[in-house]
Amino acid sequence: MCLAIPAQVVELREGDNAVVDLAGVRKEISLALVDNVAVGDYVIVHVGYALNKLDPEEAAKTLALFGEIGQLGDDPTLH
Amino acid sequence: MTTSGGLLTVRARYANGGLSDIAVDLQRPPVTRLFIGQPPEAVIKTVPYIYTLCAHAQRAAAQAALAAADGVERRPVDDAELWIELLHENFWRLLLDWPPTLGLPPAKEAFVAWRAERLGTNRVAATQSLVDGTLAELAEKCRLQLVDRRHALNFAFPALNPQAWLAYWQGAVAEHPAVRHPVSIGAAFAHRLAEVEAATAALAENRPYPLAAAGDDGWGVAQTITARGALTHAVRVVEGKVMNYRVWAPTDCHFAAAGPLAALLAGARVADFCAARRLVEQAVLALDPCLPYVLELEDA
Repeated sequence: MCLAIPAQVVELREGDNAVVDLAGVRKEISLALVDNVAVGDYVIVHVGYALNKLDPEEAAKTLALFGEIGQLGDDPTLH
Repeated sequence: MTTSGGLLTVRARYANGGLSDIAVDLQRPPVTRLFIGQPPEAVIKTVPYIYTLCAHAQRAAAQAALAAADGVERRPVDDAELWIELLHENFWRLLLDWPPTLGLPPAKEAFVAWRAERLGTNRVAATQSLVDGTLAELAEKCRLQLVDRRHALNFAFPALNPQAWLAYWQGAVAEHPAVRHPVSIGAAFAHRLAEVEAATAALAENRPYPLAAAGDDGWGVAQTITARGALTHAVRVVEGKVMNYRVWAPTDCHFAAAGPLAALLAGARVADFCAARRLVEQAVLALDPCLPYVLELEDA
């Protein structure tokens, strides 16, 4: 996705994979593009890959922004 | 909280060896509504937190649009950072996404290795090495799998015309300027390869990254390029606060209607349902949405 919604790593798996939690939705992703990821870290995910790791403060700030967006309602004419 | 960055749905009907009833539905969260009522500096700080793939381009466009609205000179950008961002997306498509769509293995290790070096002092050499080595070999294999092997002639980066977009933004004209769409799947692939070569040269020569803006008196429009096409930001500032803000990303332009996708599939003949699915996937990849999509292909 082109929007940087933080996902929290909840489980590390074999083969450089992990399970992340994205606002309650869990999915398996690859950690091949990032180093030193641990359970509890926040990452930005794009098409099945973690793109980068966020520090907790940055993740909290970004999650708050998307929380605001979620309260704005859908308007497909705006992006 | 919004749980996704949006979703693209693509629908098509397969019958008698051809595809018909092409339709697209693009849903995006209303991101720019966050900016309404904010001072320009707050918008500039927020933008990089929101976007993933083209965060640097988004920030550059936001800064330039807001500076134009304020009638001041825009801040300088880190040109190398922007070229690397554009190359990153192009390499992802060419090394990871296109090969599987054409029945070939992706070059994941080569991409991971380049990605580790892309921000370091060796970035120019690492980029050139990837282009001349793994990418050249894989691209040739991909080209052999493409039914349409037409090449993009007279490559140029997407044209920027912020003055024309400003006229549209201010309501002086009814339609926004025309957006260029790929003319064929093969041409889209060839264009991406040519763009990689041009961006690699630009990075090596420290060329300025394409960025242009227009506006005054509270109206501002800025355009820059991304791996998917031209990116446009438009802003209206009144008494130091953002009153209106719009972003036209390439995905918005390519998938606003079914026309560009239908044009890529027009007249195509396929052997069976599986081939039809592969062809639609290639056409979607040619237009390259920056968000997940689902394909609903009806077998009539």
